[in-house]
Amino acid sequence: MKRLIKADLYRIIHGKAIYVVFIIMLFSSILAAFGMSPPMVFSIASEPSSVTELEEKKEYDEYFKYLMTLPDDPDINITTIREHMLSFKYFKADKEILSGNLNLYYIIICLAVIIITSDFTSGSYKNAITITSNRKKYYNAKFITTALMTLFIHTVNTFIVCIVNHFINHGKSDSKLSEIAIIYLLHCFPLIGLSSLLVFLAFFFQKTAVFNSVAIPLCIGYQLITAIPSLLNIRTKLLTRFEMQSIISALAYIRTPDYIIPSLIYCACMIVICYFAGLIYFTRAEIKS
Amino acid sequence: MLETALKTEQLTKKYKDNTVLNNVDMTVYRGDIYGIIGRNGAGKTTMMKIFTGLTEKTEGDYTIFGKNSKEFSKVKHRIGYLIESPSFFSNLTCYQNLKYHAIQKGIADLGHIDEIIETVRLTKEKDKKFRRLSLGMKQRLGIALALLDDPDLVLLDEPINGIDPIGISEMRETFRKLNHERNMTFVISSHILSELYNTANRFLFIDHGKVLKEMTKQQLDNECRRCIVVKVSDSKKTSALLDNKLGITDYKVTDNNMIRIYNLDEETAFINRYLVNEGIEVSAIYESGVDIEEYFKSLVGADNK
Repeated sequence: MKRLIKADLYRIIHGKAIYVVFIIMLFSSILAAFGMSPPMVFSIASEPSSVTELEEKKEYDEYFKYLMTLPDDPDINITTIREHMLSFKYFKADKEILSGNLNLYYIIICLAVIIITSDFTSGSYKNAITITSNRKKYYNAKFITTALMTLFIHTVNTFIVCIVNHFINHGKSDSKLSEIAIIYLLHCFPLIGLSSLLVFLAFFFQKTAVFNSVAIPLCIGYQLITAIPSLLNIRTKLLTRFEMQSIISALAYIRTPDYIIPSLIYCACMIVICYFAGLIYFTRAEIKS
Repeated sequence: MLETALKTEQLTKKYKDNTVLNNVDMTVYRGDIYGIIGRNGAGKTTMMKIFTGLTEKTEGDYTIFGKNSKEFSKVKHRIGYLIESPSFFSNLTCYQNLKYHAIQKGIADLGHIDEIIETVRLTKEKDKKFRRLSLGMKQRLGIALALLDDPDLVLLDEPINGIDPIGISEMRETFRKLNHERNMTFVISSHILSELYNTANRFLFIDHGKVLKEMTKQQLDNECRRCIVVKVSDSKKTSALLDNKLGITDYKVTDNNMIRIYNLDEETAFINRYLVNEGIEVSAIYESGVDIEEYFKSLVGADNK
């Protein structure tokens, strides 16, 4: 299994796709750090439990009031927004960018294609399965490689966001290193959860075109489904509570165990269920030719 | 006694209602170049896939170097293969593709890759991306992968598809050389009968998943050789007449009082008249002798009846 992982890493390094991913991450971080977008996702956790959190919440309320003025303000431009956002004490651009880490879902789709479905599409899975003579080993190798690459991308992304934000905003909107580290560690769970889901889908559909046609709209589809009840004024707290964008955004800001622990348990269950679902399916089904 | 490299016993594969392999029995000895001949859809590729673990058998079993299917992991390192079309990553070069698989197989000596590329005559295309290779070059790369870790048993499914005639001849010489020098056993499936005839020393004819015949090259030559076939009432007396009176010694008595006379100096009509005059009842007499394609057609035709 170690050899399969090593071979996949060799293939990834000698391909172009991973470098395109880095360029996209860099470009999007530069845009986000320069744009200084006000936070779009509100904290949905429990009431503030400290003075700092209370002040932070007041500032969030101000952000939203400011947001309301933007469409009507004729003098609004990027410079004005940047000045205004940099004046806030608690707004930190790097934290805000990292709260949008669900965007990495689309990067993980690329990883699943590079690592898994390209094997099936090209037919080279035959070589690998015969070498291992064991579908379970093959599946485990792919699962681990995708998870490792997800963590690597997450690490690189976090690093790029912090560096780019520091240089573009002259250090005025930097979070503390400890804060970034906490966000990084907390985000590992939902990102590995998403990676597990995509690994399962990749092994289920096997071919790149079919996988992409399901995986790409899946995230948006779930958000649409959760949006429908809210349009009908139906209580949707449970649906949104366990919606990945909400979890990832909230974990960037919330520090209460009441929120964090259930979220991490949810992500851990997702990892376990997707792992076993994919393993059972792949070891029993005939490979689609 | 010859070591058995590969042996199947009542090997069967079914997909729902469709039986793709039906009680296949075959034996490949160490050092053989074993040809599997069959039409498209005969079950050749399915058999290869079973031997390499890409699909599971339904019934029966097989052994490779004495290990059965449950112990396959103990011998997999001794097998090289090319199943269906060669499958590589289109964005990697020939060398990178082979290196990728060398890493998977745990091959420490990466210098061996250059050696294998040289063996299949792909040195000039070593740094070309796979997607830019011609079909024949892709096949050669597939064969290179099969030979990568010096296997004892090589399974090749239609290896010469797309290769030019000179390339086919070079591949044949390569297989023979490896077979002779390293005692590599080859199992080659093809529907290009003439080429397989020139390469293999034993053959399996298969159609609709069933074995039609398994024979050595000598037996195949005998089956295909031009001769006069006579069906007589008394083969013993006929043999004596052929030996003592007509001086014909190059003949063979087969089942059911059939005699194959390979000496074609005498005309069919003369032999018929002579035997009848000597009191032998001749129920059939005709000229036979076919090339391998016609022989295969006759086997398939006989099976369909």
